[in-house]
Amino acid sequence: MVTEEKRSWGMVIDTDKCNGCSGCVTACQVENNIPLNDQNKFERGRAMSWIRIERYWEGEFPDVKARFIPVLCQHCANAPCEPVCPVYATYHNDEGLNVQVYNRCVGTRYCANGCPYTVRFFNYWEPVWPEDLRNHLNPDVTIRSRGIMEKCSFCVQRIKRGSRKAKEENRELQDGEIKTACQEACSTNAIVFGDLNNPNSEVSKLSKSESDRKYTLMPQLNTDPNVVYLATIDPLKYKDLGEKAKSNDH
Amino acid sequence: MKLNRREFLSLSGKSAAGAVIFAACSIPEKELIVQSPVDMPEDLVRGIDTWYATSWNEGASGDGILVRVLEGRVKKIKGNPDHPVNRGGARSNLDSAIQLHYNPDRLHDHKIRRSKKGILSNISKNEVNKLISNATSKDKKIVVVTNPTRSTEGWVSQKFAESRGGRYLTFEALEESNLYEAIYDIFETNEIPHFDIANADNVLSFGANWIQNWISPAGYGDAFGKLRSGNRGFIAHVEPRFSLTAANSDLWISPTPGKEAEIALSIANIIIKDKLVPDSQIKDFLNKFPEGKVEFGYDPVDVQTRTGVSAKKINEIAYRISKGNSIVMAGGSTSAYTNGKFNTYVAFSLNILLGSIGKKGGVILNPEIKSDYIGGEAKPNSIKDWQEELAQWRAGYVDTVIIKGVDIAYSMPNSLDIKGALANVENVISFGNIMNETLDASDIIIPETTFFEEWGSEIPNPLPGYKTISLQQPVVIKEGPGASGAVSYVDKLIDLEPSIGSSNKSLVKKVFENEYNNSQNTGSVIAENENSFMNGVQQRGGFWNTNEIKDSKNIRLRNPFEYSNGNSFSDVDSSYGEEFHLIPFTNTLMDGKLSNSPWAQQTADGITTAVWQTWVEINSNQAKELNIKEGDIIFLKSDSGEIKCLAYPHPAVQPGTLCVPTGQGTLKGGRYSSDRGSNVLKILSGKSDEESGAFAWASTKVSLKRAGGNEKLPKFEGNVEAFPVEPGVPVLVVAPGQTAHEAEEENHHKYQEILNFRKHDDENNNENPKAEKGH
Amino acid sequence: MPLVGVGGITTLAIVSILLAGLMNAWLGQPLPVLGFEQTVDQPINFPHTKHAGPIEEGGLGMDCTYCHRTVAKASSAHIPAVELCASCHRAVGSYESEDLTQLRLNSGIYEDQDNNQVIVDSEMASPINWRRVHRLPDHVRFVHSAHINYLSNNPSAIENVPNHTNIEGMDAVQPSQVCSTCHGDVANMEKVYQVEPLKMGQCVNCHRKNGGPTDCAACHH
Repeated sequence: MVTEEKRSWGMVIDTDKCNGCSGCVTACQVENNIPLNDQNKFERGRAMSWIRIERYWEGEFPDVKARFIPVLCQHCANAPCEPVCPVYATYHNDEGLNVQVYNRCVGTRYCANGCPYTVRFFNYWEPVWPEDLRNHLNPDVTIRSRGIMEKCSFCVQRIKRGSRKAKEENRELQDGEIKTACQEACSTNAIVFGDLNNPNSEVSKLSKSESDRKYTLMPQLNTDPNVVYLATIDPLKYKDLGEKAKSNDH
Repeated sequence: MKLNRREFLSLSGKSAAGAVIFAACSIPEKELIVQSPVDMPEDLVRGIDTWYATSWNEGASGDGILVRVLEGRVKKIKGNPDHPVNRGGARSNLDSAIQLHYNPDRLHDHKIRRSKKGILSNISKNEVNKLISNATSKDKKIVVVTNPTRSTEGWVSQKFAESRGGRYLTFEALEESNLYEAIYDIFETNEIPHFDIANADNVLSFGANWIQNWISPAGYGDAFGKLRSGNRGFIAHVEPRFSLTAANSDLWISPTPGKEAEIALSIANIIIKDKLVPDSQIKDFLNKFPEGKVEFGYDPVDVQTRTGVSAKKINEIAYRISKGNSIVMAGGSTSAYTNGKFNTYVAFSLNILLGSIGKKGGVILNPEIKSDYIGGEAKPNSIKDWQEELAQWRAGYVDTVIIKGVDIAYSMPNSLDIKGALANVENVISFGNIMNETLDASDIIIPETTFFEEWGSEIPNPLPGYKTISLQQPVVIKEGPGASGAVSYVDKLIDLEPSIGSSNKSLVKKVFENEYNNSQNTGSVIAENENSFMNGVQQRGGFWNTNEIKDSKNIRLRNPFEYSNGNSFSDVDSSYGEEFHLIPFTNTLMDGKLSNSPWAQQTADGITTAVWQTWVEINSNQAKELNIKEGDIIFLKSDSGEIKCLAYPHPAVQPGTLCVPTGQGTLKGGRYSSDRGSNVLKILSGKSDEESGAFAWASTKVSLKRAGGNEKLPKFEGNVEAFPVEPGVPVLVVAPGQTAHEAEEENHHKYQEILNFRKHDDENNNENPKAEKGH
Repeated sequence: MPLVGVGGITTLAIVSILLAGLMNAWLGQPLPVLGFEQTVDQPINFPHTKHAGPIEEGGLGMDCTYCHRTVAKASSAHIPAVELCASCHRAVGSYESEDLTQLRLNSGIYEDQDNNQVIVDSEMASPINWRRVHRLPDHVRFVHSAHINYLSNNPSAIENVPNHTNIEGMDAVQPSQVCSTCHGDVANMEKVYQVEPLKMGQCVNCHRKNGGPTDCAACHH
């Protein structure tokens, strides 16, 4: 008896426009009360960031290139993390989101085991927030304690807020009304989020118009992700301009 | 004890029951609540958030931002989509400013040091106000120091300094005063032009890291996105270091440091020889050059020998930028050698050759804005100015120095000996939020308001092609959480010299009143009276008027070779232990401003993903030769000091150069910035551009010494070392017109052999092309 | 068979307590914790009966939303600021009542030595530290506005309708007619107490009956 029409939240990330500035990373940390990553966490390889910029090197100096790709929870329709939770703390809701229910999670970490994109993070330690820094915590997002899995939620708190607002005002949800924190922060508009079921939304249009460049991560694993990437364009891909031309040796 | 099965079962039953009863009996009513351990104020009224439009003068030079305020606390910052400079784009480190406002180490009390060798202790506001009045009375010789700013703050600083017959100086770490000099020499204006990147076809930049953090990265980021959409533009970048701009460019050229001008002139050479642009433009360009200098002195093959850059690449650039709308810009390290002004000037002059001045998609000159209550300059004082000034301080000719917005004790190189100079000034009064080296060297510390609590106005840098004045307004109260005790800088100066004005708020209002009177109902806010106008300005975050532009195309190109130091930076120009060329660069921590914000510290650097420490980037092959592994402790020594860093070899460093980020290594800071890293700003050479006196911070040479230890370099990529992967495989890369599917297929064929997934069988391929498709 | 020995009595005691606990749970009576069927003493004994009570019974018949203003707009219904109380009580109400004296003190109104003058001093004003009565389990994000909006447009789903209100056959009602579903007949409560257990089971039941979201992410995110 659900009266609202079904939405299917999805995202298109244009890697050609992503410049690796990490604005999305910081915005996500701020919006979602992600625990602070101090030096210790990095040294142990436990730094938590729901969206991360992966940087890959290609070539040798001076013909070297760096490619950037933001990776976040793909909200797979056929998610390997969902069926394995013993307490059913993660599931796929009818709007296409892969939901993580914090208060149900008991911390078996079986879901993180299955995720091929390594986007699930476990709170190995209790988050420590000094008194003053608590002032900037976002009250819309639960603060996870030790022992709980977390991951990108497509800013579900914003989705709920926006949906509720539209419902109260008795109107349709406009495309672009709900923006994830990463999308908001991206100054190049590389990240576009929206309703894939709405043929007029920017995500749907981008998926169609740029379908030449569309690809998903690790398609051979058949996870059916809701995040679609657009390939980087390199005008000099087949042109060989290099010769190791350094004649002065330093 | 022998336990038979029956006894065991009954025992276990009883103990289980016991557990249940124990829990069920003593239920303390309120304590059955599992509370979130971070003690969120869930019982407070969950307010509705409000958004305010403001801007961050000190850190984000006039970018418009929207701040979310909930229950009187700042929660989030995002770009203001309305604002013409950044159009909704946000810098990556913008949110980090929130943690400077709510920092646990934020100063709340005034502090005083009663003698130069004494310690800092708290002092009450009333007592210290008397001392400050005495120190800044009319008979004292005063110098005011701030960061470069064009705002009411700058105006008030200027007025205050004038009222005491003193001076007002600005300082910026890794300054680019050569940029302003070069622009003045060509365009006869002090305003950096608006680079219309969004509409351009090609962008060629020399040293200016515009994609990451040069001058107005939020605005350029937005333009970058537009450049990459639709008719995709071409980006080329010339810089010895592999910055984020180089990473995102389509073609990166890494010349020997200091030889950027050669590249520029070589590009000009090709364009002129092959007549790639109309004759009139060639004529305009060559008019002032000595006859034949460009045509015969900068052949790409010769330049290849001199700079190490392949002639093919220079050719490619020359051919590409001569088609369509092109922009050439320069800045950053290009303008910071001993021949920096020459380099910058030559690079900008290419715009004349390409005819891109004043055109859409080209270089658009900005109007010069005069406002009665806005003062200051975007161009900082050069190191020559500072050398002279500090000599005065050392000689004891200055009684009082007021410092705000810039940590000079941290950012100035050792060659200036700022601490020695400060020690000879009788009263050093500093405004600051969190302890830093300058505050530590001061006699009186005044806890300052942050931009969340303060009024201000700012002329953005650069302007978007038309008049814009940004508004900074308070979004939280001054006595709120995190702020109690804070003093407004402008209000304090006005307090000391009431003739300047009545308050910061009133001055800002006057700025916009002037705009109301002058705008004659044009511009971004149209209102019936001053109050409604101010309301409108507060709603939009500033005032801009697309009608106020600059028409003239005053271009006076002079012979760049009149600059005596053309090409003077060379291998001969060496300082102590001249093995490597040191390239300092700024990233998320800026010049140390954000080192107290854990969010900024933990944001992985784009190129290295390193965090929380100071690292030195060295070429992978060179590191192998020198037997240096990642995390090795390295000492870099220049002629003015030595720092310790951790090595990070990666493929994109020019062999012979070492790149070190700024921001860490403060000797006195908050908990997030103390005791970590090293301050590379200290060991920069004291050299300056002979022509303009600008700081030649990119002309530092260092020697490298391995200390023999190894520390784990904290970085986001964990234990992975930086090595090149198969091109286009992890991140799919397509050629223009190629589909993603085709590229994936191609990768399959190419790399299956290397990865040994399947044996590459030519016959099979030809017969059964579909057989390859199964994943 | 001898009567049960010492060990037997212990076992009997334990088992009977256990049985009592099980019976309790089996009968489904929620334990009186988290505010259910509890009441608390407030710093000022605010009587809803006098203010919101039906006019026939001597109250003022005030609308719930006059004070709890953000109930249809935000997640929480919002206890109003003292100023709202003072807007009437700076003039209205006896001077002998302890509660009202305390209220006036909180509003910054006090009497001087002569006991005649009433002086307003906003510096003295301070908020009233109301004690929480209704408590939801942790980790729930309950949003009043969504429920008010739904129930006021679907009055058939409203429960606990008090005797003094009549919403028979209406298509839509005022927000204040909806409150009784979870809060009961507050207008007739001298001291507010929690009438419904407000546990997840109750929420999910009502959602299922009325077609609300049964998605975990609706409330737990």
